[in-house]
Amino acid sequence: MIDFTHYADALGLVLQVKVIIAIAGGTILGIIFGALPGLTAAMGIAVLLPLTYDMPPVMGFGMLLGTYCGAVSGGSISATLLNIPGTPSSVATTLDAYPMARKGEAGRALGIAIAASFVGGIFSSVVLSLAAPPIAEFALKFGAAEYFSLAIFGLTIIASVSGKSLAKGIVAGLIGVFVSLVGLDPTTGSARYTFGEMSLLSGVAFLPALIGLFAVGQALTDAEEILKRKGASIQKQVSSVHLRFSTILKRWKTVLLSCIVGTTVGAIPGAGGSVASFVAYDQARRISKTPEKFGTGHDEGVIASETSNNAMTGGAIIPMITLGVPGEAAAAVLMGGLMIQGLRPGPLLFTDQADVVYGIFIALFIANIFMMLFQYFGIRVFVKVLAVPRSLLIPIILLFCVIGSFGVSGNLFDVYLLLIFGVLGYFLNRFGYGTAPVVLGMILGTVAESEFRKGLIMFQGDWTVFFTRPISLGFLACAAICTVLPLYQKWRDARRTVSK
Amino acid sequence: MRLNGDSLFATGLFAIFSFGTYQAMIMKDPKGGPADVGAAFFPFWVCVFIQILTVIIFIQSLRKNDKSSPYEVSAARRFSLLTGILLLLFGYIFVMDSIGFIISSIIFLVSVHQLLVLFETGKLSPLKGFAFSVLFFSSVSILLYFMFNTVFRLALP
Repeated sequence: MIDFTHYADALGLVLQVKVIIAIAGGTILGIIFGALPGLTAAMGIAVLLPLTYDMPPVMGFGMLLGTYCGAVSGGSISATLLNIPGTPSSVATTLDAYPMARKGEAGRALGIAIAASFVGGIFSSVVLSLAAPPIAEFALKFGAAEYFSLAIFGLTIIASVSGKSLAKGIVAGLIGVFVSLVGLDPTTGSARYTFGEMSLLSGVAFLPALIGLFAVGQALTDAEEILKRKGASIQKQVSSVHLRFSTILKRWKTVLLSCIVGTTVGAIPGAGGSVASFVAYDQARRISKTPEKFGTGHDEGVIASETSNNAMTGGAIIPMITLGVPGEAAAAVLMGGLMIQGLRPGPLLFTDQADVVYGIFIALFIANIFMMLFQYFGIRVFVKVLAVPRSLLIPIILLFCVIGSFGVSGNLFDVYLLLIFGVLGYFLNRFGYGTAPVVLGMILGTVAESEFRKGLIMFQGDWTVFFTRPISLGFLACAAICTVLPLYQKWRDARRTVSK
Repeated sequence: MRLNGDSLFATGLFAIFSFGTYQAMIMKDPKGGPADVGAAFFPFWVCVFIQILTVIIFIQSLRKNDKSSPYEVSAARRFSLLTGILLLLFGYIFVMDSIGFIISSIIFLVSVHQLLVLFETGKLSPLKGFAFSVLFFSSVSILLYFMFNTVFRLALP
């Protein structure tokens, strides 16, 4: 259960000037990343990872959390002013914020978006700190069979909800599993797919792969965007922004509903912020007294979308920190941020490094406060960032990626890996496979194989152990549902179309 | 029915993972105990599953009558730009160790910037713009070098 004595130790770790500066810096950079269309939260975190190598865990992770919160919220700036979502999670924001901006109410839309993001973020950080410890305590009961089944469940749910097609999602997840198998087999020490390359004996380095998939792949896609937006210049002005907490209070039902939807959807592996904001937007319209106003520049639309996408942030961290299964792409990169600090996400983290875990909870809370303050006071500066030419940003992002990959081990082989994964990430995105399942496959593949073989060795080759232990069976049943349900829905839709 | 990017990518994945399956079949397969499935079990089945799924994706992509491309720009322009960036990135990594981080980074950054400007506007930056580019990216490279070397204690070449 929640032990409040840990919070006292954690406060000592967080309330230090350098940690606060790191969280604040991460939040500012996150808002910039979020505001610029095409630069996602996952990319922002991946690019900033090298800055955290030498930092203490709470400081480094706090900075990345600031980037995460800032980027998710910052997406509303370009969604409001340009009708281009800064991040995928602010797609639903464009539906009402942009019409408001066209009516000359850009400042009002941004004020509502900032206040709603803050409320959603704070709600999810409270839920994270309340829900994570009991889940971690429950997960301590897991053995080899349960971990194997959890990994299978994680892989199937990610594949089924993240990609445009189930087959492509599963292929992407399996590519990640395949990558995790490269190197020395942990059980027997036999080399697999190393082709005599010494650097591959310890496996494919996680961070270069991560940065390549999320940052280089995305940078290549952004470079391609330059061809479409030939000579486009972005320059918008916002006269004044006032935080609209009174509007938020008046719409408390929408806010509460969006908070719950955002945090819950965020906790489902693979769903992500765009799903959270669309589900919340749809639900808000259903309970609204004026549903016909949605899409025309309605307060409730902006509130639903922005509250839910920031409420997703804490939700996505829950399965990542308690079970080692990230809730969405950015959470997978955050997991990489924990791993480079030598921390292994999972239930044991709560017993071995409790002060760090509780420090993370507090850091997320602080990051949300900074997110609101910086956006409110610095909105004019962030709007100007939209005018920075992409041709200046892309080379710098690529440079950061190279530094990040080289910095982990000082080995140039890792930078070549970055290049390979960057190209892979570009093609996976372009053909609708998605990069998030690959990273999650890399994380869960290791767990699935080692726990499967450990389980078989422990139970003398008895395969039924995965189906006879209740928790393990539960995960496998959920995995089966996640695979069969999309197929059934597709079959039903096809039948309806034929009958029409 | 005609081949499109989707089907070609699926074919490429099929070929790569066919090689992976072959490698798993000839892999040394020691076991960690009498009940262990062996080191080649997972690699083999993962590759086989990917092969099966890529065949399904290939068939699905052929069935799709996808006449309209989601991209408004020609494939040749897109290919040239991406190949250019990747070649510059490869060259940068290749020479970084021998000529050092700062100089290689300046050359890389300026080259990528000029390439992007060329594709965006159809011409290279004028002399003034080029000078700004060199000055700006030189400052960025030097700043990052000292920041990572001294503040973050990350040794760069």
